[in-house]
Amino acid sequence: MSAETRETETLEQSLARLEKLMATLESIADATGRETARELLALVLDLHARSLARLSAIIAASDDGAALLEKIVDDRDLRAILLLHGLHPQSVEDRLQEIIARMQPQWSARGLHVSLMSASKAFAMVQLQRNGVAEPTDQLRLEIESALTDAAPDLDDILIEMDMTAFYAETAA
Amino acid sequence: MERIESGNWASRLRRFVRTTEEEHCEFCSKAIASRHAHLVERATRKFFCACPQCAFLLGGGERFAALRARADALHDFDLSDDDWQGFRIPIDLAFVFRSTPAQGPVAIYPGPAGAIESPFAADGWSRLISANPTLANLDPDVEALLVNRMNGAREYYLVSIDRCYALIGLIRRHWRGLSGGAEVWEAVRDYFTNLRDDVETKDRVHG
Repeated sequence: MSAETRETETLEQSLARLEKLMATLESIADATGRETARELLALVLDLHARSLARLSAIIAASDDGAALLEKIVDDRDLRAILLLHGLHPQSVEDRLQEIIARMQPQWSARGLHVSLMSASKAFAMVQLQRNGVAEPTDQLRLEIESALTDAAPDLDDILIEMDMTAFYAETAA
Repeated sequence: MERIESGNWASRLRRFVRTTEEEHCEFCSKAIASRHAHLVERATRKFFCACPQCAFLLGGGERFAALRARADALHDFDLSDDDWQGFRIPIDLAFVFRSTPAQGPVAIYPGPAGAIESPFAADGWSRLISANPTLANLDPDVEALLVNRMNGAREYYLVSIDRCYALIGLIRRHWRGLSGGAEVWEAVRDYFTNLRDDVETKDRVHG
């Protein structure tokens, strides 16, 4: 890939390519080569993480630090990198609450209510109340899931709990 | 805000580079081999990685129980369909274990949002044990009776509880829609195929 293509690649394209390359590396039979490449990647990420952590600390401690950080996380490429290194100034919980608050009017208009039940470092759980909405469950789940994972791609998993009472009553009967 | 369509990419990249990292005993922080012992905290059902010394000192105590890999098929298990109905478990897939904090048997079965837990009637459990005495030896908090009665199957296993939670996790990851979708039941079939393979391999080695 030429330097020019690399520069014009969007974040999505880079992440998709990253995904493919990880899969390729995973499938290499040569264990030494595989582990060396992995270690190299870990080391480079680590070097960046350490420097970025110090950079964030310097920004946070300066005048207007908070405002500046806000501007930084508004830039999606920068936000992605801060999220990757665990340096996003907002906690997972705050980020999820924010996206839920932003989406809620849209969801409410369709009779849906989403609420965050718990958020940890690796894992969050939200509850979806459908109030009899007949939309296909998969689509709803996918839509909510992708809105939330965008705000927290650093979580291993986001669980959506749905009002399943009717379903279990049916199976039990 | 523009969207990034790559799911939990940050978490996956971190895990990808982390696989070579050493693991540590969660009690004494000593580095441990990739195959190591696990302890279950009885009250919280949390799993902890342990070095051999800590596993020996703490396992089987009041607070922790040591997990031993176990997968036995119970071939002549005695449980009628009426008895099963009487346990009021809404799906044909569940595991039951003796819980120290609950002071009795607990049933856990999979649902779209993860594990659903319900106390298991004590009289039903005593009837199960008298019909199947081998259940009396279940190690509390770490071993379970795994029941698979799906699509006419009548399979029963004694397994270590981590395998049960693995099944629940598998179902949670693959569940789509109201009834789970084809993918999840295929994953469950694969799970039981693997379990049967493990049981057979072990039987060949020991028997």
